Amino acid sequence: MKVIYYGSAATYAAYGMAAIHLGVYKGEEIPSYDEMIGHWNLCMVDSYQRGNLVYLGLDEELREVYIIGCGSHGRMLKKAYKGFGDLYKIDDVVFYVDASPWERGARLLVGLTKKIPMIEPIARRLYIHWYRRIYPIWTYRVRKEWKKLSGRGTP
Amino acid sequence: MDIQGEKRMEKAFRTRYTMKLFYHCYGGAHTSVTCAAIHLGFLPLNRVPTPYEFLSIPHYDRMENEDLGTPQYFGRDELGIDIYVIGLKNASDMMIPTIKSYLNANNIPSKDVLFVEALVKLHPITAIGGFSSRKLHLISLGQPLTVWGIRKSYPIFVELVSGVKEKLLQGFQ
Repeated sequence: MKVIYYGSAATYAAYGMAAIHLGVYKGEEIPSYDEMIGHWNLCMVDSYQRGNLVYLGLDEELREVYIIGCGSHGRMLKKAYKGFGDLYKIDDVVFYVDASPWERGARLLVGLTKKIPMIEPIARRLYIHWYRRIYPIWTYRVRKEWKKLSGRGTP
Repeated sequence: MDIQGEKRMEKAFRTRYTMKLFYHCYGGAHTSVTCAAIHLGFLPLNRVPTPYEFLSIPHYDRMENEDLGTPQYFGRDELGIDIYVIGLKNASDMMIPTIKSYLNANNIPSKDVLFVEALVKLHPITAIGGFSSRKLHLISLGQPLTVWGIRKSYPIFVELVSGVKEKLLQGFQ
């Protein structure tokens, strides 16, 4: 089974939620300042990347976890994967998690910083503030998705 | 024929057999369908088809918005390549790597999957007709406009498809 976290870019909430899913970020505690800055740097470097299905690892129940950035085309992504899955007789079940509703803050701040680089120190501080607020929501969402997944098992 | 020759033939056959070609455009309803129809010989190469010929092509002006991203089978050409049409909106730059990376993740070689952009030099009337027909569901208005626009730029589609077929043929030789 594949679990795909998708958002407008792979590096915003999709990455954060997938990291919680895999236990890279401990769900209960907010990541350290360095980890948050690391995530910011990742967004600054790689947020333009769209259309790459990135493998992050196997979770505790041996499901493959991927992230992908697909702009606002999440529905088309699912249709394409379903269509090509049928075409090539791929019988691996895919479970999608839409991370786009919880990435708006990062998207705005990273986008602004890329356009006006001189605001980076302020944007970074705002990002940290946003991150601390959004992180419990990510954790809650991931737990909810995990519950949905837990009945399915591996094929 | 020696064993190696047989293996080469088998490999070539397998490659041929599994190769799939996708004509893609915005909605997967008009230009990609026209190109696929030319490719498979449903539409002539030497003249501009009549409007009735367009309307009799399978899938022409049929793709619904909900089906965007879903490949539609069109037929198999003389080289044994399966021809499909697919609508990828204006996101083909993103969707093609998305699809290829998914196939790679499932151990399917993406080199056997070919995408051809059918949205070349689209006549504005076709775009207006397509929007009216598919988005606004004004089929009686939009459909004739799409046909009119495609008939105007028909030689471009013939040239595109001829180029694709030539390259495919070279690839097999």
